[in-house]
Amino acid sequence: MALDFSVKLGPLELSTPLMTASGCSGYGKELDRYHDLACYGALVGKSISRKPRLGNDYPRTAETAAGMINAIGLQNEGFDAFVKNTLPKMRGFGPKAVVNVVGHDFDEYVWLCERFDAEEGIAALELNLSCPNVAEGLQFSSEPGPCEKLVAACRKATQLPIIAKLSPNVANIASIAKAAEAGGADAVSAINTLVGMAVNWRRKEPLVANYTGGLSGPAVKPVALRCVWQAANAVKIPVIAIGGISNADDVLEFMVAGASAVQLGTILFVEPDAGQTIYNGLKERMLDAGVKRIADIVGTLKQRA
Amino acid sequence: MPTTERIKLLHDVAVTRRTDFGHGYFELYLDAPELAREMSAGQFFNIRVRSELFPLLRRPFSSFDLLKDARGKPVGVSILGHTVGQGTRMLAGMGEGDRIHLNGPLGHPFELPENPDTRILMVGGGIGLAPFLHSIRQWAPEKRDLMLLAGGRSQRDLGFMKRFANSGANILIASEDGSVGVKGRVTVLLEAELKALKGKPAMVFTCGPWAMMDAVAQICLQAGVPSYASLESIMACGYGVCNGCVAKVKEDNEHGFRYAKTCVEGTVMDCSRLIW
Ligand SMILES: Cc1cc2nc3c(=O)[nH]c(=O)nc-3n(C[C@H](O)[C@H](O)[C@H](O)COP(=O)(O)OP(=O)(O)OC[C@H]3O[C@@H](n4cnc5c(N)ncnc54)[C@H](O)[C@@H]3O)c2cc1C
Ligand SMILES: Cc1cc2nc3c(=O)[nH]c(=O)nc-3n(C[C@H](O)[C@H](O)[C@H](O)COP(=O)(O)O)c2cc1C
Ligand code: FES
Repeated sequence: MALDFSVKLGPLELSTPLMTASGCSGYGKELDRYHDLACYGALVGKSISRKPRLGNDYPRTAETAAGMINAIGLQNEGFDAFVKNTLPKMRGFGPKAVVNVVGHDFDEYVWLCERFDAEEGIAALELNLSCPNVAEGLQFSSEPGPCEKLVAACRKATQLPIIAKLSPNVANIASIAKAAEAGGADAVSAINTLVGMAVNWRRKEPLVANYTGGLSGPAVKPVALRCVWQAANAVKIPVIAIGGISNADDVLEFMVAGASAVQLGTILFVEPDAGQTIYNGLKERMLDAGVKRIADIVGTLKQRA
Repeated sequence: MPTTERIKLLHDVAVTRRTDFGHGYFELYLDAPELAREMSAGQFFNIRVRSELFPLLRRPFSSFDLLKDARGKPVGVSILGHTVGQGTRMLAGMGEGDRIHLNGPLGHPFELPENPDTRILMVGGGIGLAPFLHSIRQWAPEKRDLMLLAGGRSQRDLGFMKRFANSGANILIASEDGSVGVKGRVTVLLEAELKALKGKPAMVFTCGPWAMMDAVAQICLQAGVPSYASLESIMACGYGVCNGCVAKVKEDNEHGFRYAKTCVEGTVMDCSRLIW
């Protein structure tokens, strides 16, 4: 049986529903050392800001139960260096290149969208509305009004497909997803990390220098699944699932709950070849369940009578 | 679209033996011929202790010994472990037939200076001595002038030093309580050795607790001897994608430094480039 892995996220067509998650896959170079990246429909790079960002003090990561906390502080080389040195390489690995952008403020997001619009070979922009490690991003991800206004301004600034990346650290994620849709986003992705904390009581110190950080990994999967389901029920645009996805069954659970594609994050730290393993696992599961087109299972969660 | 030369980095390997040195120190022998051929001294690998996702992250380890068969063919590597938490406790309970999964070799190795007369001073503290047995195994056949300065709190923390016997380096030991070797810190040995050089070229490699490496770096900078530290930062990925494992490296920018990923730019770093 010939299997069809292709998915459509509005104007963005992907050869497989697998993507990498921002900040967990560099810009492709390191993953490419492990295997051919054809199993991915797209690579999503770490957040890029207008100017280089130094990042937070060390220590930046701490392991927790079936998860981890990070407070990297959005360290990145900034727009100019990225476009000159990194983007050309990122385009060359096979999968489509999605650029994730982050701003200190409204104007920085718009500036970035305008400038990336003029660059070649970018498949979409993902707006990081929701990084918990910098104060500025917060209102765009937690209040429908500012979120819609920002997405609408980005929409005007670029022809590229826009993915609005949502935070789980909100009272009502459905309302934020709707605001992103109303602002003109082509898709939403969820979730970014949950704000968390880890402490060493003997040393009386936080385990990351920033005190708090973002929780990710298998531990957050149930929260992510709930968010994706709520968002998918609230909007007509496609939803991309992120959060603790570690194997092919996880991918299919999210797709049944309403996700059109998924991103692999923390699992890549443990299994740099997770994309390949999961792709093979999906093939097996699809053959087993008689699913020819993976897109057919999106949003098939049964309504309880 | 293969753009990169790929070497095998993911290895499912069997433990062939465990030795205990007491007080939480142990050695695991691994059946890993490919790694034994590929690894250079100073590199590390990242160990997945079990296939479940708890504990989640891999644990970074140096290669301790380079294992060869009777004919000198590389058959594996060993790790020297110290039990400090859940991952190392699981490793300490392993034995023949258990399997672990390795990602490596990772990071940049120690690089020897060209001049073969350079005295190579290896300064290790506690578990930070681990990379130096592999170093000696690799460099002794090249007839290098090798000296190992080993420090620890007490004899209990240096039980594994017997594995360095007849390895081909001169060895001096210092312990803080004087239970083995000279009483005091390893930096006292280093200062004496640097004085004794009398103009002979030297290079220092160090690995151990941050405070010790800092002291070693300051002594070497003052003495004008090039020094390199193998940094052991907390890592999430170990191969350059998470930006977690950073150290401050001097840089001509508004801050005077940048954060460098030690897992890919190091873990061996030029001490004079670091902000300590
Ligand atoms: C490049 C490198 C080489 C190393 N080589 C050796 C070696 O040869 N022998 C040895 O015994 N130890 C070595 N270490 C330290 C070793 O990785 C840690 O002791 C180990 O990860 C602790 O795991 P745990 O689960 O027992 O401790 P826990 O405290 O339960 O670990 C919790 C988390 O913190 C991380 N962590 C804790 N302590 C350290 C540490 N000192 N360095 C880095 N990460 C840490 C763990 O990886 C894990 O993610 C090395 C570390 C690095 C970075
Ligand atoms: C170390 C680390 C760095 C991250 N950096 C970014 C980032 O720069 N931009 C962003 O939008 N998300 C970032 N994220 C969030 C991930 O993209 C993802 O949304 C989150 O980790 C949940 O997925 P996971 O559980 O599969 O990791 C980062 C996550 C981690 C663990
Ligand atoms: S540990 Fe992830 S970049 Fe070094």
